[in-house]
Amino acid sequence: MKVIVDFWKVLKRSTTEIFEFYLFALDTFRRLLTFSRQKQIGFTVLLRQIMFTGYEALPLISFLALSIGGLIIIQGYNILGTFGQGDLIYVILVTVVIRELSSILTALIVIARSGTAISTELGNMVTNNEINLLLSCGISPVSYLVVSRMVGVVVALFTLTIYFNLAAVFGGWLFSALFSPINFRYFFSQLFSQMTMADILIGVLKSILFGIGIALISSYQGLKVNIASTEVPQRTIRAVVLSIVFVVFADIIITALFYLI
Amino acid sequence: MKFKFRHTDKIVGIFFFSAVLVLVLSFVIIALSQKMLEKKYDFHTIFPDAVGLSPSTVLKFRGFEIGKVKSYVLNDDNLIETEIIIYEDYRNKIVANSAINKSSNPITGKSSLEFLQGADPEQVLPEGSFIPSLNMPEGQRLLEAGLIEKKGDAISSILDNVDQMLYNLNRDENADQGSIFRMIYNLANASEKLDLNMGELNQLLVLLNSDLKESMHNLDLTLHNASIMLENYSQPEGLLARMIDPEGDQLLQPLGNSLRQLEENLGELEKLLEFIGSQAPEIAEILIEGKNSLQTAQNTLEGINNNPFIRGGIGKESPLPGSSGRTREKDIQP
Amino acid sequence: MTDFLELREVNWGTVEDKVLMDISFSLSEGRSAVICGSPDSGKSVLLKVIGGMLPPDTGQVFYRGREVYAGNEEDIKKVRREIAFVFHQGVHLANIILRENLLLPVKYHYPDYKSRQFNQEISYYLDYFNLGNILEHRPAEVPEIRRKLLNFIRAFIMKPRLILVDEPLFNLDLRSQKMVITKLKEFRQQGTSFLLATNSGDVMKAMADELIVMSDGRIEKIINVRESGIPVRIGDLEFSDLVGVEDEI
Repeated sequence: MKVIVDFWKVLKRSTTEIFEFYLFALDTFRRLLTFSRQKQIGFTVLLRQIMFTGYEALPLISFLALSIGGLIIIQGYNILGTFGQGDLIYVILVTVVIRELSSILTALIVIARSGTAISTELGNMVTNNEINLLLSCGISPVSYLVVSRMVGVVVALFTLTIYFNLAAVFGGWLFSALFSPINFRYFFSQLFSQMTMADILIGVLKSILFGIGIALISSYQGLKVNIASTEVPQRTIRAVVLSIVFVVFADIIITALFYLI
Repeated sequence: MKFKFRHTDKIVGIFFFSAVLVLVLSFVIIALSQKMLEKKYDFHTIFPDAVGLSPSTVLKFRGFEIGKVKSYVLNDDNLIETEIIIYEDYRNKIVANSAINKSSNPITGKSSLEFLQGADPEQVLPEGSFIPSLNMPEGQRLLEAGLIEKKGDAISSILDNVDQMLYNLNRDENADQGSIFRMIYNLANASEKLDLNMGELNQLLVLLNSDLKESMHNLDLTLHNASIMLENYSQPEGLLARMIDPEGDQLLQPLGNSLRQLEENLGELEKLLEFIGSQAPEIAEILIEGKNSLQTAQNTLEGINNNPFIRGGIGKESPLPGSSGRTREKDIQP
Repeated sequence: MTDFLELREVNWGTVEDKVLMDISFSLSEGRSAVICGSPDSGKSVLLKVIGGMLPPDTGQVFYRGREVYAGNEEDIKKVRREIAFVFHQGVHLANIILRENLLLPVKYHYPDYKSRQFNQEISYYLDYFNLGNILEHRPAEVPEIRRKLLNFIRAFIMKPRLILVDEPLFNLDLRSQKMVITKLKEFRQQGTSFLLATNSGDVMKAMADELIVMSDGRIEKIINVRESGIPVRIGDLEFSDLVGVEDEI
């Protein structure tokens, strides 16, 4: 009996939270439309968000992309070469790195760096009355904090995904050149002949969707902090977990849709 | 930190817009490399199967990419209806009585489409026309009627293949290097083995010759019987081999030794292969010669295979009278 | 004529923990009220309900006849432009410098503001409170007492019609308390209405037209100070008298 009651409570709580989140997301999108009108206030926040989420994550992203691109090329070349299917390495590079890994790994890094930062910052802003300050001025925290963060994270994630691809492809060539020399022009002409606009567009689409999800989930969790500062880390953990779940599920759904259509 | 805050807008601007630039550039490169911006002309053909076809399989004419497969479907007649697009530059190559040949590369397993131009370059086909494929009766008729040349004589065809192979071999970035090397390795291996085997066989035959004189009469009879039997039953039993080496150790042991020798030879062969890149023309000759000698070897083998004495290798135990080979043990030892 | 500020049966809080219960009162333009009561009486929450931070669960808050939680963004913006809020602690956005913090409501409500005019006013108040050159710093870099004074400055430069102050003297030294009270009095004399949550006798003497006494989330009584004078104590509440302002009433 107790189990049923507990289950019911959990179900009720999560349904309420999902509904609240839905309203929150709706509000964010509504305010996104009027974002340009108040750029005086939001633009600085937006720039800083891109700076922090995007530019400052660039070294880490590049390092990761470079190594992954290199590893895939080296491993793939050795294995595929023995089957006489060495040219498939470009297909693998395109499908694995450009279509899948770039957006998902970038998303994971952005969750780790910025998702946590957003929910912690907003959580602390709640406990420090900063959210109340905005409300007292008539400024909607969603417009001022969430919209700019969402746009910032989307722009940053989108940009980082492109840099990830660039670094992975270039890094792949660079690393492989150490072991078995491949002509630069040949490598890239082969790569581009295997790549389609759809591959890139799917990566871009994913990065935009992931950016929206990560920013919304992290902001929502941050703003859900009530009074105590002890809630902040709890909410941050929740934000990270839910963001990762979201990113993976969204990725699966997009990939499934792509192959179904 | 201060610097970053003062120049946030510029840093973010450069960060974002260079990424957009990269994105746009890659779109442009893809569009160019896949000839998306060029005007394309649709044609269609029919293949008996779709083996090796893919939506990006390229159509080549004298080694030039002049178009590619757009799409293909299985039609009601169980044939593969294939849409092909031809790039603008080569549109005028599509003339009447042209055909398409689909063949697959035995090394990489990839299919390639070759365009074979009709004889009259003035009669340009209108867009959307049907180009017959050589894999279908329509194409074969064109070929038989002599309206198109499928390929040159045998030697130039071989040379073409060798050229192609050497070209592939020579590329630094050749992804199939492994497989081609392995091919050559196996080829060399096989011919070496063949040579050795034939040497052994010769030796064996010489030995047999001198040895057999003693019991010529008996053996003659037996062999005569055996050949009659073989002809009668057309069931090859490898009679001679069985008689000579019933345990399998007399013939096989020396073979093992020669294989070890072969191993050493292969080391040298590998060194040789390393030079292949710089010695292409010479290698071409070697390869042609190799092919010729292989052809000879094949003929020899065929002869051997057709020889009822040896045919069938080491087969089942055959209860032939007087087939005990123990008496000749000492003679065969090297 | 509609009232300047009116609350109708405002309730706020959870079922188990009701913080505000059936709060109804009104305030005419130009008049000021001090809300007093024990720390858990709900006076701070009441200010936040009026200040737009905590929407009431039931009941309405009207400013100049317009419900402050209803309507679109523009309506809410119009109301908020005329009501300023001073927190009991110095609250600022942590990640922007103090100048940006002071100009935050200005930029929002007057996008084409003249920065010279506001900068002049800001430097006037900075001189008045002896704050020196701190505007280029971030909030965390200046002491709490200055942050609190800057909260007042942020409210003053908007020239609001109603200023809500939660514990005006909290975290201030005596000298600053005197300066703050003097300034508040000046604004009051110019016709600005105030709603202050405090138990300070000094503030009451300086500012109150009415005394709203709260206990356990309800308004116990509303005393018209002009008629009856300020009581020294109500029940357990003792009104401290530290600064020593002159009684004007």
